[in-house]
Amino acid sequence: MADFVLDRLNQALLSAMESDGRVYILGEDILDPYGGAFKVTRGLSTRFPERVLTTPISESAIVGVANGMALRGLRPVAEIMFGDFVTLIADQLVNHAAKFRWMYNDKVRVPIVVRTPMGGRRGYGPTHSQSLEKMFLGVPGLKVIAPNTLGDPGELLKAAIADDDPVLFVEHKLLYNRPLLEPGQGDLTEFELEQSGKTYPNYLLRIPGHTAQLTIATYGYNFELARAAALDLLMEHEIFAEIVLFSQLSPFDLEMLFGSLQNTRKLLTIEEGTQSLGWGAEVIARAVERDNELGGYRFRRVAARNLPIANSRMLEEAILPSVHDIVQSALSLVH
Amino acid sequence: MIKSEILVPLLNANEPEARLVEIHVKDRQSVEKGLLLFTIETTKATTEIESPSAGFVRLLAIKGAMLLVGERLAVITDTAKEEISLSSKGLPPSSPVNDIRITKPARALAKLLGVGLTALPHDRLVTEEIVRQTAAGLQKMDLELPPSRQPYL
Repeated sequence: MADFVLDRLNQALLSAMESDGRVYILGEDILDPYGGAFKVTRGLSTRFPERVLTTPISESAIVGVANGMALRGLRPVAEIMFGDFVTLIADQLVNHAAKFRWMYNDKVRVPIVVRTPMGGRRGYGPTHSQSLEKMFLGVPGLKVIAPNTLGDPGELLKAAIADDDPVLFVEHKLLYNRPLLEPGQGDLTEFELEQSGKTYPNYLLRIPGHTAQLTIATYGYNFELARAAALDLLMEHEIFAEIVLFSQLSPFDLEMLFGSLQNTRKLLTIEEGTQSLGWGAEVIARAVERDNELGGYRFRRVAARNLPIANSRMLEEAILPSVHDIVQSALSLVH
Repeated sequence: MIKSEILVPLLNANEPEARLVEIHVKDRQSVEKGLLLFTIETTKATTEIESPSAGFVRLLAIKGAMLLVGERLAVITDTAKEEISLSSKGLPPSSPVNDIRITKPARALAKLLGVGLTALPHDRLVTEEIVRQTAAGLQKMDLELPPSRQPYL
């Protein structure tokens, strides 16, 4: 039986707590038997009752306390129950956690991890379905990391906990019950993989033996859609796409993408946040800046429409990017 | 005869699926009404599912599977050995391993050029290029030349 993303994250938290007594978990409703709204913290409070702290419903307090713990040498992992509530922690992250190292000239570090489930497609309505990570991209001193089904989400989380700087760890809620992919199996049968050897690896998927006609860049759950689209392009249209899958969203680390883009000259970015001033906009801006002497490049973004996510499931689907949107955008780039 | 079907219940209006976290019985085991069969889980809660009737349980899902509400977990039959003809969800698909992998344009081209699917390689994805090369190879064979063994790259 395949491993699921949820299990890997849960095991990673357990393993981090076992191996390092400085690791604490804080958040709302995270104690057993409930084990957190998405069960990522299940079993932890039973095993380590003194290091799993249930908190009042005050997100800024959760991250504020975590910052204080981190400043005094602990390694807190804060859970924000829904990613939509990151607006409430913006001050603690942007004005405090991300800056202290600079303000105190490296005398202090703030090794906190803020984990939070983002994303829609569950019918949770406008305030529990958003992908707000774009608001935290480019904040100096703050890393934004997103797991996916290709890499090991547990290793990624452990790397974030071991990181001496603050990390916002964005878990798309549809990933939890997704099985991890196995290279050469299932959806990956037609792809060969390359991995950038970094703490937070990025991946390149290419179809061997064929010249790619476009590059698709994405992260997190939207890799599931991008992969389905790439397979549709391959099987229905015989169009060969390379996918560059990011684990690290910010700071921007685009070398692998630029390598692919140099060959294809066509870039499609996929994200679930709203399109304006999003991740794709910055990726494309950097690609253009890097190579703006060269002509013949084409770019497109697939993202959520610039609207709040609707309560109605049908309208939600219409607002969020679909495999069909990706395929159509890819066809328009290539033709 | 199938006495009852055990379906994934709707536990939470916001969640169209649930995960089968535990199976408490063996396939074809004799069960009484009320016997604990399955534990399923949504993001909000776990729920236990009991047998709705006495009989023999025929499992149709595997532990760990993510199932949609309304999918069959099992059926209860009168006897342990009778045939049941139901599609089981959550079980691995039983598609033949040797299925040819061919793109739609390649399939159309193969038809156009009169290349049968059996003549195409089954160990890799068949593209238009491979169809063309295979067609050229077949023509060579007609002229009694040895077929190229490496025409596909």
